[in-house]
Amino acid sequence: MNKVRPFYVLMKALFLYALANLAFAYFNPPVGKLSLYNWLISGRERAPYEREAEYYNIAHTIPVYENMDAMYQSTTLSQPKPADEFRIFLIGDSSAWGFQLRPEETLVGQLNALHLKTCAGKRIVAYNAAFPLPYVMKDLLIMDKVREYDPDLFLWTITLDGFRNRTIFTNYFLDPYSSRVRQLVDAYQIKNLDTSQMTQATFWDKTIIGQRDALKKIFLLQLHGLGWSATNLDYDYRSYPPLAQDQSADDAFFETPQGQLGLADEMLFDVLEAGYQLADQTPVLVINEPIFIAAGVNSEIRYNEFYPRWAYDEYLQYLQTWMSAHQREYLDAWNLVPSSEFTDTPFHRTPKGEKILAEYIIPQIQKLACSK
Amino acid sequence: MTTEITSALAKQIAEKILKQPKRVISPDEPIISSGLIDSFSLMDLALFIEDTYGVRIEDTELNANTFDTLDQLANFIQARK
Amino acid sequence: MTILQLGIFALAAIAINRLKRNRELALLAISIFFLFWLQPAQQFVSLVFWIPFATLALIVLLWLLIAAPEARAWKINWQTILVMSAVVLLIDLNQFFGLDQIYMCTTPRLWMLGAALALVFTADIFFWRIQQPKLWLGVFFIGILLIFIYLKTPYLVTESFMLIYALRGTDAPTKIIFTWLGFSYIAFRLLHTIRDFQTGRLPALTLGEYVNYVIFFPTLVAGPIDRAERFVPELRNPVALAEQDWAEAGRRFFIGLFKKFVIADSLALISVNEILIKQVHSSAWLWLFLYMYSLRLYFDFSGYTDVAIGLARILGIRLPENFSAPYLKPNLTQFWNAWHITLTQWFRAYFFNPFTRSLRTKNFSIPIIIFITQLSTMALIGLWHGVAWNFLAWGAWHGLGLFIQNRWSEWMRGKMQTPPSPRRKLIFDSLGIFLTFNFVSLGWLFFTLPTPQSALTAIVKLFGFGL
Repeated sequence: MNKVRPFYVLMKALFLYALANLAFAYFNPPVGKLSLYNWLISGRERAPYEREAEYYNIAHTIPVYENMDAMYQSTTLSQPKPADEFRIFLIGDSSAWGFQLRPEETLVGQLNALHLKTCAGKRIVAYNAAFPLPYVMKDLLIMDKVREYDPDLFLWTITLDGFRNRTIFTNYFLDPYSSRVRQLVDAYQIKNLDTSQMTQATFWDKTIIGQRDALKKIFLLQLHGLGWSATNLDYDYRSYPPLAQDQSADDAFFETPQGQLGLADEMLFDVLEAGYQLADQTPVLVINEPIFIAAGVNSEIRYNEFYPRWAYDEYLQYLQTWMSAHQREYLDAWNLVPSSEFTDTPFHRTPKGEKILAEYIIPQIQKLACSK
Repeated sequence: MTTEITSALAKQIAEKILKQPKRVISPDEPIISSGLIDSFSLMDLALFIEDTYGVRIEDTELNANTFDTLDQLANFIQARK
Repeated sequence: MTILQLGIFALAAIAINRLKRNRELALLAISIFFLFWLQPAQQFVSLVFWIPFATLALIVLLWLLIAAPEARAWKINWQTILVMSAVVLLIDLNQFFGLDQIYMCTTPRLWMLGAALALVFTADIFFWRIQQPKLWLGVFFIGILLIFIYLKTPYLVTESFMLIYALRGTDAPTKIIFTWLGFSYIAFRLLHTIRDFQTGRLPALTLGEYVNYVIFFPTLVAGPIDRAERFVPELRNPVALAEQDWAEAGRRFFIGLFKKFVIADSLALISVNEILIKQVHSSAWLWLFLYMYSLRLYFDFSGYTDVAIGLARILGIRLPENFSAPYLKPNLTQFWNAWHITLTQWFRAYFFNPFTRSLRTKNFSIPIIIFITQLSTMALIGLWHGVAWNFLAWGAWHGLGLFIQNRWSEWMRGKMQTPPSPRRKLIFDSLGIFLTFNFVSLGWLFFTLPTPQSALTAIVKLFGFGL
C-alpha cells in the first residue's frame, strides 16, 4: 500500500472541491432535470407543496421555484408526450392545485375522468401545473417554464386577488428567477411590476456552495417521492370550519377603500396579455374562477371575506371590457358554483364544485381542441 | 504443555459443546467472534477450565478481547496458573 | 450533535494532541467544558448548569471510595481538583462575561456555586475518611441504578416534575423535558468500576484518570463504553501518531460524519414511522421503509461511533469497536456479537455471565437456564434504552430469538456431524443473513414504535393484512 500523506490528501480534496464549484457555476448543469420520478417512483399529479414532512412534500415556505426543473420533473406532466395525446396544462392558484381535494377530485382529475377525445381522435389529457400562490406573475413564469413540456392548450384560472401587485411575492417567490422575470417584463411591457428589489444571482451564487440549499431540496424532493409512491398522499387533509354566510360590515378590499382599486394603474393585467402572447400558437383558455357568494348578514356589502361587492363588481366589469378590447376570449365562471360547494376558503371547491366547473368548460375545450 | 491444553479444550468443545466428536478445531481458529460457541457455552467452557486447571476466568474476561482462539486461551490459562 | 459541534471536538482533539505537557489536565478541562456545553436546555434553566455539576460531584465522590491508597495522595491529585474547580467556576462566571453564543449567561449566582462546592468538599472529607467503603459502594451502586431508572422512565419524570410544579403553584408545561447528558453511558462506566473494585480487579486510578475515563469527550454522547483498565494505560501513555495514524483517524472521523449526516439523515426521511404505517397502501413499500429504518439506525449509531473512535485516536487512545458489520451476520448470536458491542459485553460481563454461572452450579436443565438467562439479559438491554413496554417487547423478541436459534443449532448439530461443504455453507450463510436481517428489522418495529400494539399492527400490515 502506498503511504497516505494526510496533509496532501486534505489539500487535494480542497483543490478538487474548489474546482468542482467553479465548474458547476460555469456550466450551470441542469441538476433539476435529474429525477427519480416517472422512473423509479411514480410521478406526482401536482406540484409538490405541503407544510408537513409527513405528507411527503417539501415545506411550502421554501420557494419551490428555486428549481422549477426539479418541481415539474417530479410531476407527470414531464413525461414524454405520446403521439395520440392532446395535452392541457392547468395554470392557477391553490384552487386549481386542489386544496382539500385528492388529485382525482380536482378540476384536472374530473376532466381526465371523462376520457375526452378531440375531433381528430386524440385523447385529451389534463395536467396540473398550478402552484398554490395567488399571483398572476407567478403563473406567467410557470407558463414560460412548462412550455417545454409541449402543451396543446393552457387552462388559466384567474381571480381579482391574483392581479394585486404584491412586491413580497415578487421578491421572495420569484427572486430565484429574477433575470427571467426582468426579461418577461421587458419583452411584454408589463407595467406596475416593481422588479427593482429583486436580486441578481452572482457567479458565487451559482457554485455548489451557493446552490447548496437548492441542491439539498432537490435531493429531499426525490426522497419524499418514495413516501408519495407508498401512500399517494401529497396533502394534509385537515378539518376546517364551514364558510360563514354572514359577512363583516367592513367594505374594504384588503386595505383598499372603495373607489381606489386601481385596476388599470396598479394591478397586473398586462400579465394576462403577456400570457396570451407567450403561449403563442398554443391556445389559452382563461377562466375567471368561481367564488363563494354569501347569503347571510351583510352579504349585500360583501360576496365573501375576500371581496366586497363594489370591488369584485368593478373587476368583473373591467375584465369584460379588457377582454373585448384585447379581442381575447375567456370564460366567466364567477357565480357558477353554489355556495354549498366551497370548502375552507371562498375559492376552494368541493369535488362536486369541481365537476360543475369541468362540465362548464368542456365545450370550450372541445372547440379549441378541434380548431387547432 | 500448550498443545496439551489446546487439544483437551478442542476435544471438550467438539464433544460436549458442539456434540460433533469428529469436528476438528485448530488452535488458531476463532471460536468466539466466529460464533462457533455462544455466550452460554462460553460459560460452560469457563467452568470446565476452572474444574480441570484450577484457573478462574472472570466474568468480565469471557469475551473475544481476552481470547478468541484455543492458542490464546491456553496461554491465558498458563499465565494464570 | 451537529457538524459544527463535532468540528469543534476535532479541533479540540488536535489542540490537545499538539500539547507537549499537561495533556491529561487539558483533556480533563475540555471534557468538563463539553459536559456543560452539550447539556440540552431544560425547563428549569438552572438545571442546565446543575446536571453536569452533579455528574462531576458523583464521579468525585465515587472516586474517593474506589481509589487505591497509592492513587489518593494529595500530591498527585491537587492539580486535577484545581482544574476541575477552575473550569466550573469559569463556566459559572459567564454571567459576567456574557458570552451567550458559547454558553448560557443565566448561570447560578456565585454564592450558590460556592455553597455547592462547599457541600461537595465537605462530603469529600467525609468519604475520604471512610475506611470500609463496602456499604457506601452498595449505596452508590443502587443510587446510580435508581437515577438511571428514573431518567429512563418517562412516567416517573413527568410525575415528579408535575409535583414540583404543583408545589410551586405554577402551571406545568404540556411536555416535560428532562435530559441528563450522557448518563446512560456515564452510569454504566461508574457501575463497571464499582463492580470491578468489589472483585478487586480495578487498577489504581488517580482522580484525573477516573474523571477523564468517565467523561472522555468523544464518548460523552453516544459511547462506546470503554473499560477503565484498558482506557487508562493509553491515557497515561498516549499511542503516538505516525502520519498513517493521522490518516486513519481522519478517515474514521470523516466516514463517521458521512454515515451520520448524509446517509442516516437521508434515510431518516424514508424510514418506517407511526404515521407512515397508517398511510401506506402496500406491504412491499412498508418492507422497504422498514429496511431503510434498519440501515438508518446502523449508519446513525455506527457513524457516531466512527467519529468517537477517530477523535479518540487523535488523542492517542484506541477505543473499542462498537459495530462489526452486524447486518451481515448469519445468525442472531453473531448479530449480538457485532451490534452495540460494548453495551452487550457490559451486560454479558456483569449480568449474563454471573447469572449463568450461578444457575449452572445449581441443578437446572440446560434449556431452562438458556431460556431464563437469554430472555432476562435481552429484556434488560431493552430496558436500558428506556423503561417502556415497547423496549421490553423488543428485548423479549431478541431473547426469544436467541433461545430459538440456540435450540435450533443444537438440533442441527446433532443432525450434521461433519461441517457442510463450502457450497452448502455459502447457501446456509446467505439464508441465515437474510433471516437474521429480517428478524432484526422486525424487531426494530418494537424499538421505534411507541407501543408493542403499534408494532404488531405494522407486522400484520407487512404480511399483507389490514391494508
